[in-house]
Amino acid sequence: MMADLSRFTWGKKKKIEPEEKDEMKEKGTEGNLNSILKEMAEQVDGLLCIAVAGSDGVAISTYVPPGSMLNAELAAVQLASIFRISRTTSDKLKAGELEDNLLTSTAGQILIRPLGEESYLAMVTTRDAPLGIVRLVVKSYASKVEQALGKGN
Amino acid sequence: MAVEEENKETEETKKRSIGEVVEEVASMTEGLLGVGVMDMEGVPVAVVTPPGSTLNAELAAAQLAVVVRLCSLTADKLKLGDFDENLITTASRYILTKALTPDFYLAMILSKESTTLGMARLVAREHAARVYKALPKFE
Repeated sequence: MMADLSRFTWGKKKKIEPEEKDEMKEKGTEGNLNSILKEMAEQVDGLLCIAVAGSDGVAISTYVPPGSMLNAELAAVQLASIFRISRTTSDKLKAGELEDNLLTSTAGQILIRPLGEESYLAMVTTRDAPLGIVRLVVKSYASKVEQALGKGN
Repeated sequence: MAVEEENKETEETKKRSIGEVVEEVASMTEGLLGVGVMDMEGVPVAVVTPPGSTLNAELAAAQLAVVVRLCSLTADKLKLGDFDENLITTASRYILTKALTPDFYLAMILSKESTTLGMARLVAREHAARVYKALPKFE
């Protein structure tokens, strides 16, 4: 399965029209976050779930594409445990700051990337989803998501 | 007892052979700081840390066993099949764990400076098959 590369929009910053900007403000953090997750979702084939959650496992925002049977709340809790253990592991093994954690199973791939100290961004895909694109999308959107989170505080 | 002795002997030969395989893996891999086969209790079966590496192998084995268990549990709970591998990327290291059997896993710690993500994954996949063959099989 080949990814449709024509849909990639990063690098070229989308011009935000003044009206659109106001609309984003009105929607608040949650609306803004949801639209970012949706934008991410459009660029990845084989997506099962995108989650932004706290390290305590409480989901902040999740996106599950139609057709995916994944339980996003459960995913947020489980992935928070992995996020915490990866950080403890890199600390204990004196390996420096955690950049990301990639879990591969027979049917899926999970990429978790920290957003500051207290939260993370995770993408769950099928096993055949192109890993390079998953990493690129998560990496390039991490700061955007972090920004959207920061606005809410 | 002769039978017991024989069993012991074969077990020892098998153990030595997995040690040799891990040793070989270590000599073949660039940027390696440590490689080992551990059981799910965090007890090392065969571990090699190249000279100069400051890695605490016991600590790594124990810590990574927790990681592997959690990853298996997660794959299970999210109905994503069986756990295959987990890769922790940090500022300076790749910490890779790969399930060999339900009871054993392969762990590799690599320096980010001298290897790439693609190479680390490729090398782990290749080595996992060799190590798996050398693993003692319990009937």
